[in-house]
Amino acid sequence: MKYLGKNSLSSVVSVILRIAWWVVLAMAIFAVAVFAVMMFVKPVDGNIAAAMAKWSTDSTWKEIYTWPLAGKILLFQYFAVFMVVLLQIIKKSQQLFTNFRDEVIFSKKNVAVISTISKLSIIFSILTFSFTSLLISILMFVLCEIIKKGTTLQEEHDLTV
Amino acid sequence: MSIIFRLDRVMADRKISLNELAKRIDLTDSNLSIFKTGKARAVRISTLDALCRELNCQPGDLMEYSPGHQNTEDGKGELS
Repeated sequence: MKYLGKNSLSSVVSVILRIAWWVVLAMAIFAVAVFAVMMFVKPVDGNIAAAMAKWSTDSTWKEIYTWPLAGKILLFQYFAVFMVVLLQIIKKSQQLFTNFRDEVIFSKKNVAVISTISKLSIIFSILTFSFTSLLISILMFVLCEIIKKGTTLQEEHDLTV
Repeated sequence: MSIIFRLDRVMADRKISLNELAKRIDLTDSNLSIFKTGKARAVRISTLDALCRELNCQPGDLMEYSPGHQNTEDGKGELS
């Protein structure tokens, strides 16, 4: 199986990530609307907030309206940061795989992209309290250093006549 | 770097173009241009051998050591 170049695994992953970015964006917009209704619209018989509270199986969602305003705003901000970080990780990963598809591997562009992904992954691991994400971000930092070394060697090779 | 590339001077003396020389030593125009403008980081012995053979010169005719000389982006030298 081909991993780099046209019609390879990288090009497939690039397309999947491009679609995933739009799907996550649509879901984020929908979730923001749902959050806003659940948090700020009082569930009264017949209105949309009451209907959503009825559909929800999680009791937290039914109680969310009773939370203090500061708590609601904090939750909203957490959600917003989470979505922005997730969308950025997907976008940067897509850029990386597009470069791999175009056979651009050892370049300063990729070093910058991988570095950004690893920093975003650290934020993501903090937001989700995920050890796996933290491990991935450390691996991404190592990969970034490898690509950096590779870029130097590539430059040496390109400037050898 | 304190190495000045003198390929352009030797080429002018021999009245040979970059394309012609590149063709003769089986090198791409862009690679030979890297050598000519002094942007090269390393030179293969085989390239040097081919250049000396085609230009009928010594490696020292193609390169010169000049302390304090810096190659600029456009390949022209300047003293630092």
